[in-house]
Amino acid sequence: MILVDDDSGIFLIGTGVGDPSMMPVKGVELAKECEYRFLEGYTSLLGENGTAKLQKMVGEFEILRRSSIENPSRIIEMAKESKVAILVVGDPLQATTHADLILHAIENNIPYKIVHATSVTTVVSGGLGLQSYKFGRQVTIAFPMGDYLPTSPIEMMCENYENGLHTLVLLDLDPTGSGEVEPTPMTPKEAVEIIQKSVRKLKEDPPEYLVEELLGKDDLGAIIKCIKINNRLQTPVEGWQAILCSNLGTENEQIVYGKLSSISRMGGEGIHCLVIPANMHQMEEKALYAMHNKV
Amino acid sequence: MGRKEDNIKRATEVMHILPQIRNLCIAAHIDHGKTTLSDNLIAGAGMMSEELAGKSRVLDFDEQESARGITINAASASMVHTVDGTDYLINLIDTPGHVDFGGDVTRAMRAVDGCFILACAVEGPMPQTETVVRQALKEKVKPVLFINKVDRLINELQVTPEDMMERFKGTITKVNRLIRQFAPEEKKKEWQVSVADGTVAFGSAYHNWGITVPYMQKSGISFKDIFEYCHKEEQRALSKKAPVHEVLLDMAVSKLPGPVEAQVYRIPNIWNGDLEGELGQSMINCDPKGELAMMITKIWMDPHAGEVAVGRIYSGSINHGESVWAIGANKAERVQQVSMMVGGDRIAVPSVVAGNIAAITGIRSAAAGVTVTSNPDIEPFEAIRHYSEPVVTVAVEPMSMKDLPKFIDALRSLAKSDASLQVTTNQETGEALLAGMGELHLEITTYRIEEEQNIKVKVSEPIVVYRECIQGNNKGNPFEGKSPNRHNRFYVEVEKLPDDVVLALRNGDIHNGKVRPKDAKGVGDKFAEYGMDKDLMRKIYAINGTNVLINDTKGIQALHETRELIIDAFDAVCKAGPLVEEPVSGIMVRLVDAKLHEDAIHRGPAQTIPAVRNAIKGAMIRARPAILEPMQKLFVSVPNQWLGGVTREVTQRRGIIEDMPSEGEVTTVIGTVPVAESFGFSNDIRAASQGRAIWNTENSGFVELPRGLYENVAGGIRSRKGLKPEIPGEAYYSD
Repeated sequence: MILVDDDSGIFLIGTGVGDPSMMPVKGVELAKECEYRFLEGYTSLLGENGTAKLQKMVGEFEILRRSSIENPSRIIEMAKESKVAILVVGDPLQATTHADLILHAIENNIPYKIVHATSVTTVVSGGLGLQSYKFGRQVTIAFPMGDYLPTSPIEMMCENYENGLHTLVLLDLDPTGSGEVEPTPMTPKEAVEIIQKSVRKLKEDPPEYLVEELLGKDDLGAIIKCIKINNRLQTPVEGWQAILCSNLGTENEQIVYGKLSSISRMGGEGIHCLVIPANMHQMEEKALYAMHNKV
Repeated sequence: MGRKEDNIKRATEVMHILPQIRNLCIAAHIDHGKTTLSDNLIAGAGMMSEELAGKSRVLDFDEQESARGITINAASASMVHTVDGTDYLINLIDTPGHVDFGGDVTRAMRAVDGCFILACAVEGPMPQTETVVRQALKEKVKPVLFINKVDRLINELQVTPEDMMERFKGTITKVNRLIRQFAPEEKKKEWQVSVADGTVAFGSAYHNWGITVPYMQKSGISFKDIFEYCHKEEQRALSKKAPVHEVLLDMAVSKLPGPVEAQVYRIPNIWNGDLEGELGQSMINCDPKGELAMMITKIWMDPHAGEVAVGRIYSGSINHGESVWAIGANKAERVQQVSMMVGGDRIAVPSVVAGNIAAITGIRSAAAGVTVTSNPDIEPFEAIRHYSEPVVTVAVEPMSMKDLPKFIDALRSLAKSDASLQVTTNQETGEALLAGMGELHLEITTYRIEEEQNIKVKVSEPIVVYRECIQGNNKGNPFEGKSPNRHNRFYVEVEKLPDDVVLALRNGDIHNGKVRPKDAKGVGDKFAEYGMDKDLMRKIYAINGTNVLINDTKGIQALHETRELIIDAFDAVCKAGPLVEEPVSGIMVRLVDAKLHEDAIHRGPAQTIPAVRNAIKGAMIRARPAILEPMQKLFVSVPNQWLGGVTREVTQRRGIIEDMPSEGEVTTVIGTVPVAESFGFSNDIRAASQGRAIWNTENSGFVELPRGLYENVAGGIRSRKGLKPEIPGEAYYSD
């Protein structure tokens, strides 16, 4: 890592999960020193209050949408002469594609520094009373667009479950798919509907690798995966156990557990994610039930 | 009761007696006298005054058609003809002869079981005759031949009786060769036409007479008599002895099949469902009591009734007031009116049964080619194969913004009724781009908006639609397209498709659109019939126009999930290529590798579509792109005195003269001219020949633009479209 000790470069700074008060002191100090400050505004949402609070903490900043981060020529030009802070809600490199921004900096011989912060991918486990060892691959539920309805998140949720692993399910923020507008996070109701729709698609028109007869007799890995996913799909989606985390890290934080059918009736304000727990350890179960309410 | 009313009454009665129905059309080259003949048939059957016939052109009920003296739309007319005391119902569909309206011809053929091939005695069968006959045979429509304008042969060209026979023989041989070539295997022999069999007639539609061998025997008129009548200018007397409608309708009744006979072999050709099933049997037997199955062949706008759908009923009956489905629509609709067509008149009837042609109103979801039925779950009819490649575009907008909603509505109807017209609208500015088969096609379309819908419009100068293609390939050197977040990469190779595959795609022998995974094997095998690699083609994702998309990758996790997005990107490039954003033609796109982000959210539409689009465009640049321009085949008949002026007009327009056969004082110039140079040809050729030249054209495909013009044309298109004048290089598509 190139340390920034001169007077130019890119500072990729996390503000932590939820409220800006979660931001590390180091990040606040560095952000204040920068000549230019930007907030990445398409992978998460601070809300009006959060944005005002962050501005009080680090100074004025401009909000950048997807195209300005993915095609960062303006940022790069600035960073050749000045210190530029890119503020990212959560941890800047968890569940984002900003590694590419670092590559752009290196390609242009621009110094950079990363300040990590808390991320939803880490806080959920402990916050729910679950053990981080027992999480499988995380997924994101995307808003469908026309004929495009990805089913891989469902497949991964099923596979994790059958392997005894919990799944963190992030939810899309942008129904337009453009990343160019103020995010409007998916509500629990929408999320459950999309999961149901994807499961229907998987059952009605399964991809080849989910039809056992179509698989090679020797391809044990594929056969096992196929059996596992189909096995989990036997349980109707409405009956799946899930944990809903709303507005994590803010004053309005709320965590509840129950069946997806109950969760779909929860209020839609703010930003949410789901956890689909697999078979829980006794301690996990105790902690989850003791700390949180059932719906 | 007048004769016309009496006829209508008889028609509605005969409609139910299936062996006494004939569904026909007339197939001919432009100017060979088709509309004159239709009118004479209708007049003869008592549906209009005999004096007007040949002059008023009832079937040209579009004002526009009468004004231009050519037939634009296939209208239909029913008439009653009596043979030996038995009434027959003749449903006649007129078809346009001008090449710009080829789509209408194909659709008309779907509705009929037999056709009159009309050939001019002087000119013989022309290229357009051949095209139309081919379309008829493809639809298993049985032909008989009528050699028209025999009086001109005798009176103007002064041929001897022997000469005349020679000429007839020549024409008959040509037509029979076509039948041998294109008729269905089992009919090639049976459908040959001959004078002795009475499947060939001669005459003059204009002068109202005609003759066949059986009619000669019946009436005692001989060839010699005909010669004399013509020589003595007594054709009127001849028309009393051998009226053309009598002769031709006799021929239709005795030589062309009725629906019961024809549906047995036509249904398997146009319907893919289970022939042994209930509906299959009902259609094959033309059962009026079966389930309703009707195919719409034409939509036209009636100023009072709105959209009128005309089509052939193959099974069951369509009844006033009942609810039916246009397959593909999301709800049933009520049939407001059922009618039979008599030239410009629609005669309302309570119902029309299988084997007939009916006009219906109230079914707003119907479009040409759509199946109408009482059960929405039945297998629809094969789509009517008509692959149109528009070559000319105009921009049209309403003069007054208050007409905008009406204007958009009018365009919607036009697009529905004319499959060879492509309409793209900008809902905000109200500007619409109309792309069609030629300058004339678009002139008529805009005329219809102005006159029939009463909307004043502004029309731009016509613009040529070019095509983009490639000269080479980039096999082994795939082009990498990156998503905006650079976490997804797609690798693409392109190559040209073989000419016969392109032709098959253009003719619609292989269907366009997305290929469902479960259909991919069958589609791949279809390509293998053209000598392509079967295993490769079974990995097909989509066909767009004359281009194909193949997923030639192996074992890439989650790639199937981006399938729709990859196809969207391919479709976008097919619509607008990398050089000048014109449609792409004749290429195979192979996706050979891909690297995807782990999370579906980071490989969604906003990432995958641009990545694939860039990969295809970059690959095309790497494979040396080319611009193709549309060409027109040209036929100009001109008295020799003005030949020089005509050939000069053709050569000045980058035209190539291929042949100049001459016939007495008249020479026909046959050649090809780029469409880009053809605008205004009409006026110039008139000036060059003092109005003596008779000419017509047909679209004849695309050829590579001469190198010398490349820069200029590409720059012109790019600046017209508001693009930077320089053509982007590979680097532009790799970032």
